[in-house]
Amino acid sequence: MLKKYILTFLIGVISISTFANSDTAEPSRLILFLGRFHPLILHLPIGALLITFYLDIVGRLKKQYQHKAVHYSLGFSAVFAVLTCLLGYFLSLEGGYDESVLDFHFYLGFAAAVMIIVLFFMSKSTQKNTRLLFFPFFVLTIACLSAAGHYGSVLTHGENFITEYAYAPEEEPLILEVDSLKIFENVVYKILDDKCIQCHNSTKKKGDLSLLTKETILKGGESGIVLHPNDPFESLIYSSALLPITDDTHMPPEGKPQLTKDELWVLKYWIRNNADFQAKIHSLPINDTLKRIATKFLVLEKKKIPFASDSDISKVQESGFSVTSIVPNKPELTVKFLEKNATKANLKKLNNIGEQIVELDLNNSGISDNMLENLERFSNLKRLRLDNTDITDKTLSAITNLEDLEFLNLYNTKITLNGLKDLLENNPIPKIYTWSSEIASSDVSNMEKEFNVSISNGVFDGFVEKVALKKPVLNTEKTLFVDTISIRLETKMRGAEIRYSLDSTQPNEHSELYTKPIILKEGAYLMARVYKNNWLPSETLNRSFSKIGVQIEDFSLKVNPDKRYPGAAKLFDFEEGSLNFRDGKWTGFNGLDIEAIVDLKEQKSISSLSVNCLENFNNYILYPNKISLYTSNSKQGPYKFLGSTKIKSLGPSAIGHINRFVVKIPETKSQFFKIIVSNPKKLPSSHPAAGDKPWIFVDEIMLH
Amino acid sequence: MEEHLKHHLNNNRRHFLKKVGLGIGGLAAASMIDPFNMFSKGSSVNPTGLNLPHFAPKAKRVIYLFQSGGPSQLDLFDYKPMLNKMRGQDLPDSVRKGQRLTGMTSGQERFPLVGSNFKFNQYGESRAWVSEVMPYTAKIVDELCFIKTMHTEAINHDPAITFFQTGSQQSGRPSIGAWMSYGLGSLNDNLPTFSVLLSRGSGRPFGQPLYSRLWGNGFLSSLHQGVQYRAGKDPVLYLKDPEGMSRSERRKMLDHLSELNQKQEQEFGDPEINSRIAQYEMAYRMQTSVPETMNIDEEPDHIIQMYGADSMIPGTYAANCLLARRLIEKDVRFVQLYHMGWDQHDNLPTQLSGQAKDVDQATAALIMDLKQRGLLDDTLVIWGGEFGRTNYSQGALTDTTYGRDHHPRCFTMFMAGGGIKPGFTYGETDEFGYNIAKDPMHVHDLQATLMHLTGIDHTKFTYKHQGRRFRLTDIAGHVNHDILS
Repeated sequence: MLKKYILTFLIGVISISTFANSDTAEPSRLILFLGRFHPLILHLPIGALLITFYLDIVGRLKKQYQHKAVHYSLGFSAVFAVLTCLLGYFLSLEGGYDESVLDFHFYLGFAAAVMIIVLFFMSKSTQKNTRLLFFPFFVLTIACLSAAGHYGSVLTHGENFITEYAYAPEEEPLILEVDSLKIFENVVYKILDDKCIQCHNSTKKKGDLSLLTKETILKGGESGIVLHPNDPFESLIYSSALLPITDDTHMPPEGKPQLTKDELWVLKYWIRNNADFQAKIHSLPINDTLKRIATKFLVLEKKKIPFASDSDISKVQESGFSVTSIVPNKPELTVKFLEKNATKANLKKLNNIGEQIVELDLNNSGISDNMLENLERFSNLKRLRLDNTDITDKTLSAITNLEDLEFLNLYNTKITLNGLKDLLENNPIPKIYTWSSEIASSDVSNMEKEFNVSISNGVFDGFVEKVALKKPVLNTEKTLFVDTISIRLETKMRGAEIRYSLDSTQPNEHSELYTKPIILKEGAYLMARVYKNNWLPSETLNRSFSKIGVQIEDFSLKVNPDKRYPGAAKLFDFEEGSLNFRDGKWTGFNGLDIEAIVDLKEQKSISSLSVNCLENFNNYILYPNKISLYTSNSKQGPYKFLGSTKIKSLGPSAIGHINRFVVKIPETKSQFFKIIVSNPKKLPSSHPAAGDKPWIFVDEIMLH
Repeated sequence: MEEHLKHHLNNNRRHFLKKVGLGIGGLAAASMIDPFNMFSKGSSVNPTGLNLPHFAPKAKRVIYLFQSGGPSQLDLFDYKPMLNKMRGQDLPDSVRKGQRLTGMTSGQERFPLVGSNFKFNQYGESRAWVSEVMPYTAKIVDELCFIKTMHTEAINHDPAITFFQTGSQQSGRPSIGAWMSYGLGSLNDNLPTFSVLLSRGSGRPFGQPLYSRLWGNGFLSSLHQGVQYRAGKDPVLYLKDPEGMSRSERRKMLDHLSELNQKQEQEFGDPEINSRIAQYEMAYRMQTSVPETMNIDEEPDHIIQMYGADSMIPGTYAANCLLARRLIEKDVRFVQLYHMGWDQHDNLPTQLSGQAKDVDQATAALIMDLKQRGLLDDTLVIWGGEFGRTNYSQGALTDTTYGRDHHPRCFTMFMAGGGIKPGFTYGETDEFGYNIAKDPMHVHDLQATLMHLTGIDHTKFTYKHQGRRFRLTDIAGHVNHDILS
């Protein structure tokens, strides 16, 4: 009976294998599908075998040997061992595995399966010799199975999967010869090694691609060439990392560590720049992006700095310094003196944390030479600020040994050219600031070239030009007055002079000097300019001041101004508005005329009317189209027409204009006048809101 | 039970649970993240306790020169001769591609292209294009990194500025400076970490106002909000002692107040009480430190000359630039300027000349002044507005005048200093200056890059509020490595 079963089974295996091995190169999908169950099933025969081994030993020790249990579980193990072999064979058809390791795994696995079957038959036997051999053979089977399992794990996880964490990690080798670093070898390969080579190596060649060496990379894999120099997007080695993570061909596959953005950058740049396997990082320009990112992947001469002790740090803090770690939980510190009167004792405190200080800021600290003696203790110092202190060349000589120093600020100190030269000869610090020291600009550029450093010594010639001062500010708001007016001028520029004239002549540096407010009794035209050494004179301030005879106190308006720009009294207050129509001095009327009746309380002779108006086209504010003046003997009228002026809008170019429109009339003696300022009623066709109601804005109505 | 007692008990239980839970949980988390450093170098060298920065910063301080209103890139930096050639012709649909416009021009019948009325030239070793209205900027192009391809999602001022400042178009999130203050802490205990200065432009003096929420702390502690310095007698409001109160009386008052507040804090454990105590103390210190900083009398004449005559007039952009330098010298972490008036919908040639005159000399002077003091090396300077302007004219186009509407699809900004590649131009727009041709840079990218330069990984710097972790860059943003030196 049993033989029959085994025979059928074997025939089945052979027929399927031959089918799979037939001329069609591709194994059928069903076979591949079944193959994927190998890693699932393989644990069953192993588990069953181990529990049987346990039963065997326990049975022997307790003298209660469970023959049947041992027999049945060996049978279970045998059946699944055979199945595992079969599925394992199917899986191997997928390819991409190192042949030699695969062979080991295959033969050992097959042997283990056979041995389990033999054990199964032995367990049933009652022969004495068989019984004696049973236990040693069992041990041998387990050994064989373990070996098969080990090679299996090498196939899936790589060679040192188990031992990887058994040993301390290898120290990153310190790179000392920066000049010889290659972009591929020291950077790109490191990325591939991290993220790709686990599956694409000579042992496990997924997709028939190995990224181990230059040759295999160039050879490509199943999908063809993976690297096209200069064309990253055609190069699968880069482009497959850009596919959506859910895409089947996205690399690395979902669930594996992905390439970081920086890594992608490096890869892209390397491919774009000809995918040169020999190019040295050193050869890239200093601010090349690839160079900058690439350097991140290198371990460059990094010294290991120990942490400073808390007590040392707090001692430094107590003596007036701020001490902060540059990055929390890292030993490097940045230290700054917070006061202005450093002493030798203060600075001595720094010595115990000298090794940890990477940035030291002593700007404006009041230090002087002699205070900084033990500077060589600051062996990791990168940035040093000594600006705004009294240090001289003597302190510079103490800096000579600080090889890590990248930044040295000596602005506003007493250092000299010779001192700096001596320093640079021994220690070419890349960035130095020397403005406001004893060093002249002309000496700097030669020194920059000689030592290949950057020295900043103030702004370049021609940056600062002689420019004009600002116009004086008129602090008197009224330009109209009845009796006298006091005019106040101001300039914010210290040390500047205001020169002015009142007779319409352009003021110059010899004109009247403004020292106190100017009192005017008559109308005048003020012109004023600001003067100062080393500056061009300002533009001229022009303002005319007019004396007017008639002050209007009693008036009535037919319609009141709009709520947003109210204040009928402002029409007669002698205060003129600015170009800002919201400045509170303007009164506005939306689509309406202004009709005012004024009562002068006594008969006065009047020869003209003037109305101050604003136009701001984009804000819907137009000039009125007509201003008319009427008079009467009584408040109620009837009013007699005296004269009028027609006004044209300036149109779209008007951003803000103010004009005083005058209506001249023959001299008229009367007590009551009516003034009509006519609103154009409709915005013109050139306006985006043509046809809407325009505003008119008036700040002053005056009779002369 | 009496109401106040109930409240008391409630608070105690809640705070007890919170403290115990967080304490144990926090300890566990700390040991998981970094078992070796669990009990190591702590507080005294890491004042914020936030484990920031993530890596060594290139820029310790930031000056953000915000040009509010949207400066016209086409008239300042992004030279497009094609637009001069095609002046008056319609913007081709193939270029516009149906992009939305603001309500201000969407009704226009025509979109006549308009090139700049200003002359452009190339300057410096970097051969950067700069228009004639920015002569000082032109002199220092080799210090600058231009980004020609900034783009944003907002099309109107307030959402666009809010987006730039907080990473979200809706208000309510902390401003960049507030994030910096929260994450990196203060470098100077006597001045606010986040300082704000405002100026109005002379090109368009009555443009949109700005709101203080732009420099607000959002959901962060109010300690981190921007403090506005004003021109005039009281640079910081409510800082002066009332008349008749001496400084020693103020000190005594604050000591007693602080005692009361501490009692309150012990009872309720509300952290906002601590920030209140800290703010009173800061205000007390600011009573002397602020007037000292704002007093520019000690600036020598040649410095005044460098920044221009405006710098002597408080409240101008030039004066603010000079103050920004003084604040940076005092190690203020984040200085934010806003210059208003860049909204040239009409009469652009006149208005823009005024605006450019306001900022050109002072900006260049600030950068060069920082440089000669050795401060530019670790100070990041950013110049730019909330969006750009259209390549077609808004309103009537004449020989002498035109206007430009808002354009979010491409605009120019520049940066300088701490960690930025000098003398470099990033990105290209198409020949119409309408779309990006190469290398776009989004607002979130700028924010991510800014954070990167200050040592922060923008994806890891979050604050939990209302059940969600927020970050400045929301869920987007990439560090632009190409512009880093």
